[in-house]
Amino acid sequence: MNNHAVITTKGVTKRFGDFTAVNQVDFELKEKETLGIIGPNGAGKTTFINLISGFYLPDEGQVLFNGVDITRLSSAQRVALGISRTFQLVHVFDNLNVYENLGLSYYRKRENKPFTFRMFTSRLWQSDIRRKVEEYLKMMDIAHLKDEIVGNLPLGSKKRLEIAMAFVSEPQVIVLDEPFSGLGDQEIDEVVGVLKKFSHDKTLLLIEHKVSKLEDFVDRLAVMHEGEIICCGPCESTLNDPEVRRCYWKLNT
Amino acid sequence: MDKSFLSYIRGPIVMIALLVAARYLFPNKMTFLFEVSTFGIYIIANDILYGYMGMVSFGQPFYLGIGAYTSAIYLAHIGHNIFVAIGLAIIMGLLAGLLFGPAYIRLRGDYFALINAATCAMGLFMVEKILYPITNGDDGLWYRSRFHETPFLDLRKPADVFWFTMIVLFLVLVFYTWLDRSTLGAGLRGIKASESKMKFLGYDTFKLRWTGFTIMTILASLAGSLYAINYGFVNPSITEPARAAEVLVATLLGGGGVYGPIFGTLAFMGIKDFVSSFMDRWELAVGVLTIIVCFKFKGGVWGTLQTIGAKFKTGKAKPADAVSGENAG
Amino acid sequence: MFELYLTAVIFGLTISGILFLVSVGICIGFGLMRIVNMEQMVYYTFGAYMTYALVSSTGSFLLGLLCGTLVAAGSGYIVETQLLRRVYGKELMFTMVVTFSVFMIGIGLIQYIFGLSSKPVGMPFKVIVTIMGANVPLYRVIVFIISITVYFLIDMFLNKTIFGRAIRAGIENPDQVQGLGINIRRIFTITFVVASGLAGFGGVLNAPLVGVTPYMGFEMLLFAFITVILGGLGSLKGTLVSALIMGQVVSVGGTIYGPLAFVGPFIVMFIVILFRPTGLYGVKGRAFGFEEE
Repeated sequence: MNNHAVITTKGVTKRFGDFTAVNQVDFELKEKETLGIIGPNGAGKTTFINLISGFYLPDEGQVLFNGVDITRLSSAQRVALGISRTFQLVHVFDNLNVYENLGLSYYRKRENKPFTFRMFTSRLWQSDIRRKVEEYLKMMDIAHLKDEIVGNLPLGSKKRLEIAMAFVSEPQVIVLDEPFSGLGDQEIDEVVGVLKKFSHDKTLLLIEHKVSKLEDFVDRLAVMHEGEIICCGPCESTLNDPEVRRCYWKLNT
Repeated sequence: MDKSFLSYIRGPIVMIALLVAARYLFPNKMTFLFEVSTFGIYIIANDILYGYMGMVSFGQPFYLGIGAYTSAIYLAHIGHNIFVAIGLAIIMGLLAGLLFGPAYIRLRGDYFALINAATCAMGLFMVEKILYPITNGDDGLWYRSRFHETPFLDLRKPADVFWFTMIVLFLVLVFYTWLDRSTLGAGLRGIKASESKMKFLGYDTFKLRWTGFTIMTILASLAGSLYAINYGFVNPSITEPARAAEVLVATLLGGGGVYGPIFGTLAFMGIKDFVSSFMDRWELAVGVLTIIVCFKFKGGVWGTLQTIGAKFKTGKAKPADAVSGENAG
Repeated sequence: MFELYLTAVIFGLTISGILFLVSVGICIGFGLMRIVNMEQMVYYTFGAYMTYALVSSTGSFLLGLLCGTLVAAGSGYIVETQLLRRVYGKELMFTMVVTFSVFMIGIGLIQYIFGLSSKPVGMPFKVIVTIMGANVPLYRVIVFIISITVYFLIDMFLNKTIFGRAIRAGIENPDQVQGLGINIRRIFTITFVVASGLAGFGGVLNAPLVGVTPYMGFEMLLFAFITVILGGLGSLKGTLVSALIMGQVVSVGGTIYGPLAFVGPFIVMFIVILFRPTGLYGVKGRAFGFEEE
């Protein structure tokens, strides 16, 4: 793992009133690695990835993407640069079918423009879009749902669809916000199975509060506690770290 | 998933064939069928706003009035050519969309609905009072005698206007089918479901909305122009804000999809026709019906037909077309 | 000339009073229940028609006033408990269409019972008072005074009673009230019944001034919305102030140039929505940006 850092944060801090949600975090995400951030509720995980994906602007510090300062860019601009994310509460288009959801996501990447009048003349069933979308439909095991209206699908399928929507635009970094929340065990295994396929050649950052599901496919594990990353390293060493044991396991027995 | 050219015109042809068949089966209902076709175009326009982008406007008669009055003023004061009158109405619709769009579409749902109502009231005021010298105010404009003969179809004759309306409706339906299947159509529906996700994917939702809004104004204006030509006169009642309700109800009755607006119009006009034969006004029936549709048949007439069709095919219920279902209300 | 404008100002105050009474329901609908209350004017129309019916049959305006207000409040109760409960929490579009349908049903009922033509309602008393040289019917002055009294009563109710404080807390933060263990459903119902009663009361008071027609609610509906938006969503004080402004726009504006009486309010609304969407006293009247998560 000697790849260059894709995302670097330098001393980012976010306060809500008197409460410091994220405190002076220095952090590095390397190319093609899968990194999981764990921590109890309220540890600042979600705030931290909101800072990375541009939903909040930090009060202090910098966010770098491939060495370029992106601290002040909006979330849409960051998506255009190649930082895509999913949400803890699924964000998909309930009134479109699965195929159209993915198609819209890929189309934006293909046109590389926020709006064009070609949208009127083009169709999402064009062969090049279809090829790409169907490839990802297969990879995500949702090919059989292609024509289903998303609003009628169970949560697990929606989650997989949302992850697929993040992947299909082929961003450099994909940030997953609690991809397993609200899912049953079997559904979690399905999502894990999908993520494993990608963990080798994509840069993934995911947050979760249950460590058990992450262990077998993340390259590195970081632990967040009271707004700070208290440890970051390979899974085993992180979990055996004395500070982690003290701060994390005590709170999460 | 082959979407050949034929698939774009198959549906519209069937639709038009049905209307034409009805015209010969019920010869005395020609005016009714003309109104259904024209009102259908008007509802299609509103459906682009409501069914696709999820925006409600209480000022639709204003956009209808733009087309009607543009054609009427041209025919009454300037020229005699009906096709030019329609062309001008379309251009004015385009201009209205480009002009009002940027200011209005940024507004939250309820404000959007009401500012359209305000626009509509001001439009009514314009044609009634300020533009009195050219619109004749409440007396209306009469210009049928000024029509010049047109080639192929003589638009001075109601029977030929009916055929002409059928052609226009056919073109609008093909356009609408195309829009529905285009990336733009999917994008507009995406905005309805979750604008924030569309923004997040990197789309410029402002321009998308603006485009949708402008298509709406053009189609509404076209419908208004057809009214003006068929009746040979216009008066300000066409732009009355009170008539904004009809549009919403018919759209809701139809329930999205490509043919929803037409079915909605048929249902609405049919009920109106039926109810008004034994009751002074139709508000009561339409109000009750809308509430029933709101709570029981979320897919509207078209959605319900599709559900029944699906039941027939597979033997079990399939959810209604979600274009207007679920959160459409 | 001076007398003419003074008369217009006083007439405007009357209009303000009516506007305030009928706008309370819409204001609270926005603020407390987060619905767009299109059907408020049904109660206004019902109130006005009850007055017409009773004044023409018994000749007693007071009886009309009592019955009109009660019928309005009663129909408000039925609508709230039978229909609106299912609407709370749904999106704005849905609430608009449903409440608008109720409005149409109301208009239909009125037409069915009373017919289409407009009917005059006799003034309860015909005394004319002279204020600084302007001759004004006493009735108009009284209508204004009553409305202002109603405002102060509501204000006192909201500030001094526990129930009123619960409503205020509800307007500021609906989720919190639920958490406090207060039965928000009951609050909604009672508030709604009071608001529709007030709308009916406004209809009763307005009936002798404008007569009754089935469509009297339409114009009033738009004017009431303009009032609420101009005042700021959910602010009663704002609603009162903007009602005062709107009354003058209609009355003085109409005196200066006739058509302004109808179109003036819309021009005001147009300007307010585009340039100051939060209204005069609005705190959460964000008109820009769509439903945020």
